[in-house]
Amino acid sequence: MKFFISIALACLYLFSTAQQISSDTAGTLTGKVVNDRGEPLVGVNITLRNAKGTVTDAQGRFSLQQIQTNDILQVSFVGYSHQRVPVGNNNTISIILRPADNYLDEVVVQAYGYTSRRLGTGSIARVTAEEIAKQPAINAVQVLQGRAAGVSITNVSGMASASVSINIRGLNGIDPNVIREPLYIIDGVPLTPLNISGVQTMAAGAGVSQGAIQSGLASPAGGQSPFFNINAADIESMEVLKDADATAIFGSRAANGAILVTMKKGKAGKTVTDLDVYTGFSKVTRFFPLLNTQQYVQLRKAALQNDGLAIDVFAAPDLVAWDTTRYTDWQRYAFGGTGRVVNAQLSISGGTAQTNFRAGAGYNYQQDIAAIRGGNQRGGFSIALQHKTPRQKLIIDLSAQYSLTSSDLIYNGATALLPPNAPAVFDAEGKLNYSGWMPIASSFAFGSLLQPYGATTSLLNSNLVVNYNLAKGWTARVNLGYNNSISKQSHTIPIISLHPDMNPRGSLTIGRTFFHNLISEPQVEYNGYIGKAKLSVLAGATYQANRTNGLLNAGSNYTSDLLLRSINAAPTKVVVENDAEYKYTGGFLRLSYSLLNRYIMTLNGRRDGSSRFGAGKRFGNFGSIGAAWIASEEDFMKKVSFISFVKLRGSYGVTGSDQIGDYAYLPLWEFGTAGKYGDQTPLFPTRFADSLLHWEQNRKLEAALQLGFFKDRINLEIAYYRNRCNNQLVNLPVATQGGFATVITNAPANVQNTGVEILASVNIVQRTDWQFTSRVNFSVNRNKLLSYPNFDRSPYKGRYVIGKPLNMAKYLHFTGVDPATGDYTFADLTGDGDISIDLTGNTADDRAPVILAPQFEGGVTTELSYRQWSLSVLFYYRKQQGFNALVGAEQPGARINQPGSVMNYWAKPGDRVLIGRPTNYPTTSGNNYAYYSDARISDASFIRLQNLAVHWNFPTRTLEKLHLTNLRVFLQGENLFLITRYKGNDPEVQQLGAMPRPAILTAGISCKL
Amino acid sequence: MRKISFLLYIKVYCKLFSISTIFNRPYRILVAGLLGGILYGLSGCQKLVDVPAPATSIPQHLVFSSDQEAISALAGSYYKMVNTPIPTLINGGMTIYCGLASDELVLFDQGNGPAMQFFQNNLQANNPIVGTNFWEATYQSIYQFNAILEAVQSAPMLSPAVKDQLTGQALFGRALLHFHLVAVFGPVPLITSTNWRTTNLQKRDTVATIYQHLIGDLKRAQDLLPAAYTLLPEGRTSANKWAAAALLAKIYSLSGNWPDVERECDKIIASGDYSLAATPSEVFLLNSSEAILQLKQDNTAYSFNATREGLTLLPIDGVFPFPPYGYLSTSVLAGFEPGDQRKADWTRSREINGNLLYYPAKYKVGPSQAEPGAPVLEAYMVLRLAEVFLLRAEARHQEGDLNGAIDDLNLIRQRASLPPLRKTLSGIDVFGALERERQAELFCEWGHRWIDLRRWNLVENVLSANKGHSVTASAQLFPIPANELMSNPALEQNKGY
Repeated sequence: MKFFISIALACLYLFSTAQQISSDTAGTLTGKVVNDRGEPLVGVNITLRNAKGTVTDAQGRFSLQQIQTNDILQVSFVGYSHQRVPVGNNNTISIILRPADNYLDEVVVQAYGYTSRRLGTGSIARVTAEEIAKQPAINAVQVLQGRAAGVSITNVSGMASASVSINIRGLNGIDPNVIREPLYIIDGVPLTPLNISGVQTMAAGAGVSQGAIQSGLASPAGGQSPFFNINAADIESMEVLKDADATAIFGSRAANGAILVTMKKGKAGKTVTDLDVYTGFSKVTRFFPLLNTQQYVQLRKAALQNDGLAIDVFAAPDLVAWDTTRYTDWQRYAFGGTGRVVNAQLSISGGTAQTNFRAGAGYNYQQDIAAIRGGNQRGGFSIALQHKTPRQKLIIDLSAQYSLTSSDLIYNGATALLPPNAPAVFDAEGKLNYSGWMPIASSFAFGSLLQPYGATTSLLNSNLVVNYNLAKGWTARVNLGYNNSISKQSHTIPIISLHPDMNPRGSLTIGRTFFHNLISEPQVEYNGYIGKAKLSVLAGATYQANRTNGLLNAGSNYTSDLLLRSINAAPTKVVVENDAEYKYTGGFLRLSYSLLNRYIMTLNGRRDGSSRFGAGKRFGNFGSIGAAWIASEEDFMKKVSFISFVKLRGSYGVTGSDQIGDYAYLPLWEFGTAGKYGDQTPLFPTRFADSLLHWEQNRKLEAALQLGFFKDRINLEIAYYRNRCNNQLVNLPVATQGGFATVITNAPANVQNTGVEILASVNIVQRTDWQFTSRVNFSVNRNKLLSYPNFDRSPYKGRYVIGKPLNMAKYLHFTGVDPATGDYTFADLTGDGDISIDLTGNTADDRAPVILAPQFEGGVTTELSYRQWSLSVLFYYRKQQGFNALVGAEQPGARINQPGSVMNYWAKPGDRVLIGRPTNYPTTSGNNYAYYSDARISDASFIRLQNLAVHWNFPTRTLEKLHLTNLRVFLQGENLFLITRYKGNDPEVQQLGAMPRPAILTAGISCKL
Repeated sequence: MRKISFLLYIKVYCKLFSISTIFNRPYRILVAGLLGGILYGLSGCQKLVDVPAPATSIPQHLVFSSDQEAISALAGSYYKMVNTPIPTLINGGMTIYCGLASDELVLFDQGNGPAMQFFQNNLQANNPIVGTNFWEATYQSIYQFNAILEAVQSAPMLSPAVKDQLTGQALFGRALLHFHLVAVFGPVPLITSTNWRTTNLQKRDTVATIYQHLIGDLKRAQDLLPAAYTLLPEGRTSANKWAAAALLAKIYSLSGNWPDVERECDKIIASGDYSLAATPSEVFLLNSSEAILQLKQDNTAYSFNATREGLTLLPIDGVFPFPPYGYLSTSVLAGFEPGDQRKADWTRSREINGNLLYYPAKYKVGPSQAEPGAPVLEAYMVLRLAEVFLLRAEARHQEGDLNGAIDDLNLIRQRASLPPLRKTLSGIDVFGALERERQAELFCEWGHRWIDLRRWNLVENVLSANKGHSVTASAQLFPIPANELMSNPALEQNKGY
């Protein structure tokens, strides 16, 4: 590490002496740069064409020597439009910079600073407040889908509060159970509850943490996203950092990318009040045709006949004991309801040049379609304050958000595929109809209707930044952050919800989670010119401490529902505590060198340590090098008039990951949850400890070309990346003879993701009353297991193939239904005359490879405005293969509903059909291997209207009458329609019987005072 | 040294940038602190990333830094063996599943696939009971004993007496678990380390190797352990010198080393610490006078005051006649001589669908009697004096001491209210009497019958004759779980699977 420091010092020394040499006196020009509100701008770059430059000081002032009258000043500042100012005969000059609203120059937040698409050397995708405002979903992260290239978002359960899996540029990990999430940073503070509950949510082939809920009581939604507690309306922008250049400075935390969320801040000027209200509803629009009662009964009878079974109460209780004329559309019963959405936001901002503020309050309500009562609610406040001393020496920024959420849910049984003649849910007296479902009351799936689950969660996120301007070009800064979250869950199983004949007892489970996270990041930054070259140096350190504690209180054996409100009354009580602490520290350095705004180089270095590793393995070095060449600044390019911008950039670097849970290196013994052995409190070893555990490494390479045409009316960016993830942190299955079935360790797997991302942004029409822009992104990712030493002796040998994608699955190859017997037939890949499966495709016939990863995906956004009207449309598209609904886990003929298409089944020898002979037997019997075959796989590509927003602004005259700055009404929709050939409900959910993504439609009004 | 170099860095910094102009007086300290902090962070400080163990756990080196915690670790290993949500090999599994596999128990619910495979002597390698209840649970307990053995070796804070106790107990525990693994799987990996890198690809050791190792361990345990049950004071719930001797005798009996069997049994009987319970009904009670080792269940955990075995084998009481899990075969019932008190005390019957089904009831607390927090009246019997007498009888018979053998058998018979055997019996008759006595005394208890059939090489003949289906020789060893073969390519499957 000292090596790093020495290099840094040497560089600084070199550049600072260079600066001294260039100082001289003659023809001095002094000036001041302010923004459009008259506030001085600090750190603005002032250069003379092809000559030396300087930056403005704390009061926005600058001075340049040896100026000639024909010199032209180049004034540039991140986030502001570039300006050229002729010097003329002036000795002093005042420059006003206007915020950039063009694609290339708008501010992009990066790690510990800002950049722009023009000057950045890294790969950063950005989503703005305007885009977030168009989306009615309660979880802000979902806005990234279709808008940020290379980012795929999956809500694990479709419920509003659910955990969301965010995958940036493909699947890195060989172990699907290891949680791989990007680093989330809200205004400088990581939002990362530790995963201590040991429970995780599986989605899209990647483990997702239960998020804000770590008590061990699993939520019916599949966890709770920490972003559920972030008010989307308070977000100014979200940046997704993808390549090594953008992420290496986060060191060991950003191997899976990083998402920076910047909250809205105050603006100096007139006090502005914003009020936004909208309401709407959500509905599932796609239902898959299932069998009606008549068809179902026919199919069942055929199956029983084929199996040689009598239609009696043992083999067919659904046909004998149940009414065979009754019909219920269980699909619509399960998710045919209507959800509601309400959102109200109020914010006030304003201030003076020295002090400004923004205060906001918001309320969201979203009722899930499947909800029986209640719904999801979020209410909260946010505040942002900034104060500057008169000469801008000291700047203090404080921002804080507090929110309280609640979600009322039920653990939904699998009800959509019940037999269509299944009896009613409630009996005539309004009680759960267990008796009506006899003799198979065990299949009654509605007890959960009376078993409420509720969670309330509060989150405080606060951030204080103290900036001190040491001298011209020098800034010292401390970023202090703290967040904490408290959540309480309860799940009640009252006696009335259980089968009365089974001597039911009630139970109550209460879960509590507390986490807090403290971060402190002192930094020093230098910005200055050495001759023609701009140098920026950032040095800083991080100290982060996180504590997460989960407590589960389970009370059971209640004999009365009246007692169920308190755990005190529980005859049997069990308490389970989970606890972990995480600390992280590191130092970082960034050197940016920009020559003539044309040749840009960035070096990032970081050394950091994590408490997740044992002595000697804690610290790791990470770093990156990024470079960009803005060729359009070269004279030879300036002759090509239609090309306005050409930039080549590339980066290479190493980031790490320590996302494997805490203490895995340390042999621990834990207390049991209760009880004694004799008079002793027993202690148990918890798991294998691996003292050699160390960082996972992700080496990222990126090369990109950015082009601007016709004065940047058309912008195009093509990026290629290659990420290689090695020393993977896994929960390795080992022989249980050692004592445990798995061990957390580093696997030697090397996984490669390569891909191309293309972004295009076109301003088709750009007039005052009539604008038309379109943005397209396209991304393609290819994944493969590059190498794994001794793969044949590894536990992954059945699951993966070296050189093939991790998302590859192996199946039997379906060869049609035998017309003679009605059996499904499959390719006999082992050639032993017998079809066999081992579910790993290792030795048996299930070896036909199927790749389930998307082939490509992306989004198309179109924005059109004409006078008072504006329209914005986002289409999201994906090309992929997936599981169709035609072949289910249960064979046609089993006691479960099936797609209507199965009626075309094999009935007699000679039938040439796709559905085999109906049978009553469960899937394990040999005839039912269709579920383990590629007959399940078909095209699941789609184009979805992800978002539609129509706005109408009131005309200026009306506004004047009403004394308003702005007033508009709007209509917004989400997931309004789908173009797909997918055979099933939803090509993203890919499970018949699971709730498809609903459509949401809202209408609202927004006004600004 | 490190601190000095930081100061040096700061000085260099100051010199280079004539930093005095940068440092305004009031903020000088702040900025110096900031720079110092950054450099400190950059060079990396171990202490900043030190975290204490989670509140719910103790790091291993602290567990073994005090006698109290170290004893808790041992208590945990006993606790884990007897408090299980399912019948594991060591907690009811030997009785239940070896009972089904031999000619003792008939499974009532023939739709219970995994258990039915035992009854039909038709085990599949993916049978979840073999994988989870037998292999996984047992090796998990072995890990804990190994962890104690390893930790005690480098625990200078422990008192020598506790060290000896823990070592002896853990050696015994490890031997007990391996012994039962061998009883069902034959050769298995002998695990003596907690390092997964060592154990992960370990092969199966031969039965002879394992027994040799266990004999060494148990001899050492016998030396280290006192005769009194001192470590865990309640009852006879941890191993003592005689528990080690009893297990040693069992192992000797399997390798046909009869003089050693007799010697170990003599030691136990001569100690005078044990006596046969007055009636069979008192044998399985907590602190029974013939108990050499009992495991006591936690009445707040999985099986409450019941044993896991009683909870499984006893049927639910109620108006509706719930069937028992399994019922006694005709050969077991036929083995009771008229007037055998054991039939009255240790079996119960229930009429199901017009058939009178007898089921084992050595333990009386079943699913309808188990209550959270209720007092534990019966504990899970692992080793008892009656078995020692039977072992000695067999040893004496093998060594030609028929009188001695008959004396031992008569002690057992007397307790069962049966007339004594005549001293005039021939060698063959004594052996026949011994076999019947073992079956009547030890039926549905720790798979004794299964182990006996195996060691007497009777599995094929007796089972094929008694069970109505043919049983192959390869059925006498259970299959190595399929998952284990996948995760450890060094393991080889038993013949016939």
